[in-house]
Amino acid sequence: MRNKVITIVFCLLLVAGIGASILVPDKYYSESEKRTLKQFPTISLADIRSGKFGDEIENYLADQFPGRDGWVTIKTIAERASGKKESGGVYFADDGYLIEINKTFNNKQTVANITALKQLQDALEKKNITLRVMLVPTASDILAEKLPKYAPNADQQAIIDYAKNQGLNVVDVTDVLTGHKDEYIFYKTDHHWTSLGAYYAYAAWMQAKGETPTPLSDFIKEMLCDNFRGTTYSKVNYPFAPYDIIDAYYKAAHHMVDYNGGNYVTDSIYERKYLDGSDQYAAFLNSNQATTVVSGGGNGKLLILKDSYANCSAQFCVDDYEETHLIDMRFFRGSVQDYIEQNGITEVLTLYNIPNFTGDTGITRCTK
Amino acid sequence: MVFSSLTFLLLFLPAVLLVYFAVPRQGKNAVLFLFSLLFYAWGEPVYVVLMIFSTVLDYTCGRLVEKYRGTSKQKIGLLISVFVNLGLLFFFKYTDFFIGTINDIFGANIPLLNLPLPIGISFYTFQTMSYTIDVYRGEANMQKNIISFGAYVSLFPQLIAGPIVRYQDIADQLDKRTHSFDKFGDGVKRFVTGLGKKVLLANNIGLLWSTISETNAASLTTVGAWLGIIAFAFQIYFDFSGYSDMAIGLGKIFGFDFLENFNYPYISKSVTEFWRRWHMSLGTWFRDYIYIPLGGNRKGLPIQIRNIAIVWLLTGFWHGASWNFVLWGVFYGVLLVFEKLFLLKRLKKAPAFIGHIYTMLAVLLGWVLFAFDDFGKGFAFLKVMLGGGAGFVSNEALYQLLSYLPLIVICVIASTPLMKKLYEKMTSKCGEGVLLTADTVRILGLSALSVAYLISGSYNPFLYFRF
Repeated sequence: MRNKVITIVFCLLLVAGIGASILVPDKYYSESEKRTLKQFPTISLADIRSGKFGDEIENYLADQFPGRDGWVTIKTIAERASGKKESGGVYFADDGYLIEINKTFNNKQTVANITALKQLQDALEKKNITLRVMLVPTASDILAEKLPKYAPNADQQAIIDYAKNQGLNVVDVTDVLTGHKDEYIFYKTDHHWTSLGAYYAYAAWMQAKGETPTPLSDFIKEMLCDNFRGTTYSKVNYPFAPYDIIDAYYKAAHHMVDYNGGNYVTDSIYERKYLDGSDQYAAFLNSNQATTVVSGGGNGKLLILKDSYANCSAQFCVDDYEETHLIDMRFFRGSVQDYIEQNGITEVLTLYNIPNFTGDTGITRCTK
Repeated sequence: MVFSSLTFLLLFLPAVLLVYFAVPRQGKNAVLFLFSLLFYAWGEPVYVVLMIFSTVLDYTCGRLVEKYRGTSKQKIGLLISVFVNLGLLFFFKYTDFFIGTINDIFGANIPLLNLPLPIGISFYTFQTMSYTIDVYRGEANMQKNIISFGAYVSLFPQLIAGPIVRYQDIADQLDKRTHSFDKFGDGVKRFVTGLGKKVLLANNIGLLWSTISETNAASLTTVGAWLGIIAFAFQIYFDFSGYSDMAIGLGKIFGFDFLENFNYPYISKSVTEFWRRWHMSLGTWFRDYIYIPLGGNRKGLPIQIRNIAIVWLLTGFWHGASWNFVLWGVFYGVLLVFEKLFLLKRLKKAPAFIGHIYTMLAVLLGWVLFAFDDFGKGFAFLKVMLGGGAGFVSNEALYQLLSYLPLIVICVIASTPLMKKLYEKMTSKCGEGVLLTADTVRILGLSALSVAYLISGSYNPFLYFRF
């Protein structure tokens, strides 16, 4: 009797699995994972012979499994219950923080990147253009005390020290961020810093230049959203994770913004359409674009060579310059030195978060 | 294809069950044969030819043995079967190893073949040989139906990682076996248990081992190394025994009764006992087809020791075409001889915990030899275990220990018959309703968790593929 029921339960499970897989339509894109999902593979004799077809079917089934995100949640809860302090490359840190794990850095790439930046710095010096480098320590460094006990954690300060020793003009923001570590300077569910964190770094940068930063109270603060769950959340789909608040700070509500040389021109550095989606941080300067030019009311032309950390930094300085240019080396294929020449750039800032900097393969192209 | 894949669980298993139970009795072996070929061809489309060849060859050899029985030619079929099967195994598994060794010794530069190893070849060549030998010895009748024989050779439940089913053990079941809800239900329970062992325990504890084994020996600490090899011991046990459970469970669903392959090996009090509990079907195979024909223990101690030496050299070598496996086999051969000569008597007199500690130390040491193809790395790891590493313990090792402690405790419990005994107690004391609820919850829970891990984890390596 008991085995009869078990037989039926098992067969129903199989039917449910196959039925759900067939009935639920395939998706093209996963919002939470930010990637396109595998589609049913095309059938070819060569792929079948090499066994590739079989692998693709397996990946297809995993990607298109109904309720995929929910299953990842189940796994994360099981991991937490079994005492694991991490899951999917994320530490479960104190106070609800989900902090990206950085156990080691790619030393070879780091050396190559720093060497390339030094070359660019020297070349620009001859033209009387100052290049400053801001390598931003991430939450796993600044908020290290929140990490699980004994958690392996790569030394980000060593990267800053190395960059200084190689003669780079480094703006070290470690002390100022550490000084404000009890404030909301990093998102709890995303690998980025908050606008507040970016402001403190902006102030440190202004001071390094010998200028007075605009006080925070001079900016208008606007909450862009309070239901943000970012990249580190996506990796674990942990239902008990907190929601983050994204704030904007600005002096002028409108700026002329030109993406990718006239490709898209708009009147705000905040691309509010992203606020309805799941990737709200992308509202800052329209996610990541190869080139961005923001017009402001100040003097001089600033170029920021950057990753996404700079996207929320720019709001603090755009009014200080006539133009603020941003280049994302991951997508930019031209020559940085030509760009500087052609656009009359007067000052350059390189702004990356350290883990990203150590792995980025685009930076070395800046010497072209 | 492996059982712990979505392709198997979502597509293959429902399809084969549906067709198998839809066709009448006479067609069932054909269904099994065809689906088994498909199962094999999924990952190895080309080598399926090899499997068909092996089927036809041994089927013919069986006929030859019968035809010439009692004549001077009666050994022909047997010899062909043994030579061709071993020839296939040697060609695909060991050629590169021998070329490499010759190149090393003589400084020659013979190019390697670099053939991918046909999955499960170590298992199915042993099974097909057992058929011809059993028929030759009169321990089983010749199989007249090539489809039924093909079903035996290619039977997907135990095709890839055993248990190694001797022909004589399932000869009768091939032609007449019964199917029932009782068997099906038991099979489901067994299959799901095995799936959980593989996906939840082996894969997860395997993550710890892969982290530690990839750490440079120079930065590894004593605690880290011990933690690592303990993780490997659990990974290989739950991986392999989980696979056997799935095989046995699937067998039951299709009406077969396979012999057990594992019997809680880590509770052993001696190495002799360990090998009676670990991969039992391989031990039985070597005993029946090598050790006993060589004279076993009936021809005096020197011959017995020689026989043990031969069997363990071969056992080591069977596990992989690399010297570390040979050394691993020799290591166990020597321990077993010592136990036979004097150690076993002394262990019996000593308190049980001494036997347990000695056995676990021996087994863990064995796993170090087993885990590293590269002697240099293996011995460096051993040195760290004995205190010659980067200190006693590091933050990283403490972190790993804290993170994995609950899983290690679960693995320890799952390595003992504790849960089985509890379940048996429950069966005798509780009512049907409670038992049914417990079983259903167990099946649903384990399946759901396993599927969650399969979907979210790309980490699903399969250890016994290389054999």
